[in-house]
Amino acid sequence: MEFSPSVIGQMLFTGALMGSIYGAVAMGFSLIFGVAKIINFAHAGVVLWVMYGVLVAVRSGVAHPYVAGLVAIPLCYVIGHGVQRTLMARVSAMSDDMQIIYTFGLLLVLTYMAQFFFGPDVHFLPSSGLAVEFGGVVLQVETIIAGALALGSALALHAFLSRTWLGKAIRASADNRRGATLMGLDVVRLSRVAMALSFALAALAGTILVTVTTFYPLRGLELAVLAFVIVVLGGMDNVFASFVAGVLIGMFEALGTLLFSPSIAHMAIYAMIFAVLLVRPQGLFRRRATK
Amino acid sequence: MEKDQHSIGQDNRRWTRRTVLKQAAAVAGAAFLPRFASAATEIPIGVVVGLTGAAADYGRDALRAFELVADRVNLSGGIKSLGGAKIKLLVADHQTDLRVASSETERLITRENVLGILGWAASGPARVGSEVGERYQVPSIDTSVDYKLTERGLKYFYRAAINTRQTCNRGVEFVQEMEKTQGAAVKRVAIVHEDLAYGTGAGDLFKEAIERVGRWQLVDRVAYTAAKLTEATGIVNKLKAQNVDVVFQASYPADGILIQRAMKQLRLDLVANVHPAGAPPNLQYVGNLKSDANYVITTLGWTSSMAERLPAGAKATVDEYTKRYKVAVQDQAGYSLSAAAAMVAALSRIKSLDRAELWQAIDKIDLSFGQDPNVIIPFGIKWDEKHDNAKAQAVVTQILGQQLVVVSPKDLALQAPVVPAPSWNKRG
Repeated sequence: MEFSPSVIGQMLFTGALMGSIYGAVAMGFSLIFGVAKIINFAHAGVVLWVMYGVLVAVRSGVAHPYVAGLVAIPLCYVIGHGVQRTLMARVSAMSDDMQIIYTFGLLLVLTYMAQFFFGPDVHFLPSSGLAVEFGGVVLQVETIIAGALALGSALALHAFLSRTWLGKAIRASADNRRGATLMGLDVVRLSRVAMALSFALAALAGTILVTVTTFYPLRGLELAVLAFVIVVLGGMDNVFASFVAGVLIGMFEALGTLLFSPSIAHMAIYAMIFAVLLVRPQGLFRRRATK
Repeated sequence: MEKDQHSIGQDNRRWTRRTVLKQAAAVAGAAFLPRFASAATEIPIGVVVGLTGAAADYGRDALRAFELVADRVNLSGGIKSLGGAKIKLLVADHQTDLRVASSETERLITRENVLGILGWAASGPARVGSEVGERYQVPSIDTSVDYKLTERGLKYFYRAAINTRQTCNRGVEFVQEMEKTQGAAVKRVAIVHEDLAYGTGAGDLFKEAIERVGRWQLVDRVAYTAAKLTEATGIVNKLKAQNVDVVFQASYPADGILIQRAMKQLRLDLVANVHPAGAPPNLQYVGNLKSDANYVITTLGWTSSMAERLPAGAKATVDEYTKRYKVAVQDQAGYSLSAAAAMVAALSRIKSLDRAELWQAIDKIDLSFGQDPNVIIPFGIKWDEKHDNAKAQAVVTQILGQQLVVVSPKDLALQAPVVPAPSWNKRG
């Protein structure tokens, strides 16, 4: 095999961009775990439904995918707020295993509802055909935009959580729920805001995914596994670390594909997760808790 | 007159204990006899297909074909050799679930006493269902395509469909033909396949066929998990780095679309991209890729564009099917028409409703394309030593103008193949 600069460049850029998109899928998952301590597998179901929503909007000629996404993000924020008040209100009080069963059940409901309404067929939005070429590397415009949006959202979320009062309050309630309550923070309201943000991130992830990949109802289950793997790698409650872990997974996948095959690359990713759980169960980017 | 102390009735008929026992034995005996032995007005044939689940599309197509042939026979006076007995199809849904396929096949055999089975129209269910048929010595004719199904040495299992060994071999042969006739220069080839049973099996078959050719260099074999493939530029980047001329590919629609799109994005120009059925015949493939799907080659047993070149009787069957069900004849329907035709031909040769007799009749089937109007798949039905259809011949199709067009063999071809495919830069 000829490892020319263009081949290696293609691998690096594609890996980084796809990894950013994976990171976008995982950030909402990580956020809701950090704040509400819920392993919300249903997050992937929301991503899937946004993908179908954008598809319907585009195919019916109502809107461009990005415009549909702009509508979906605030809409999902409101829905997320409502979901935390209703469906998820009692989940925090459940035991960890019941939470997993509950949210995974919700994911199955969302997946099979998608199958019922949209059928099992594969869907795919035609690409614009526009590409950026440099040094033999060809990047599709949709992939570049998707990667940029994912990176932008990760930076914006990081800034929000570290610089704003509301973001700091959310982090405080994530770090020490009891302490935050004693300090006068409304942790129930903060959980609702976190869930709403998580839904908005799902909307963003769904919008960018729909422009770069094929999808069908069972894709939701794959996305749930992907998000889980990424947040385990990055650290369960570190949102920005989840994004970085997504990029790492994307790069690792691209390198494994180039050197071996995608099947071996995926196997290696799961082996890596196993190793991380064994050696650094707190994740790659999280400091071990001090006593 | 002194009444017999064992009589239990007051009428003229004397119900002795012996009479009662005889009557009871007769009733019990009749109940245990196979239902088809008591009357030959109907011939129970089991149909086990997936009407729900992942293979539901195939199952529905198969059932339509079976019903069409059975109705034709019944309307024309039934099976003459059996006194005009009508074919009764007893349908079971295997739900594309192996456990259900096994239990439903067994139910049809043991409770409905079916004489033979038509099915399973999906390789997984066929694998388990055929084992059940074998255990009960019930002959079956299947329409699934996995080549491994007939490599188990089953005695009562036959396959009317074309199999992946035939389609993979034909794909490799076709590229060799193109080298000679079109002057296409092929040196480096690669295999790309999904890593489940279909893709891995096809990958193995392609590898065998390429090794038989000898002069090509197999530079890579790329396996991927279809469900985990989010984008495919990594795969195509690797192929491009190895300067491949021909890609032999086995994909499902979702992953096939991603790979083809990545080929366009990275401008991977190939002499040919050859699939053994798989993604390209699926309507979703062209539906999603539009003109980017053009020039992809696929080998298969049937495509609806072949209808124009069929013998008159077979063409009438296609027309009747299309008119009756308001859908085009897909490949699974074509195979199922052949399977049903073979079953009817075998039934026409037996004198009693006996499974062993039917099995012997099926084993001797030799139908030619054009002889039986229900056989629309070229070039007829005759079993080889593995019970595969030796007369089935894969046709080569190419997507041209977003249509799957037969390009080989010549007598069925509608257009000449476009090999090498034009470079991506020259496509509109």
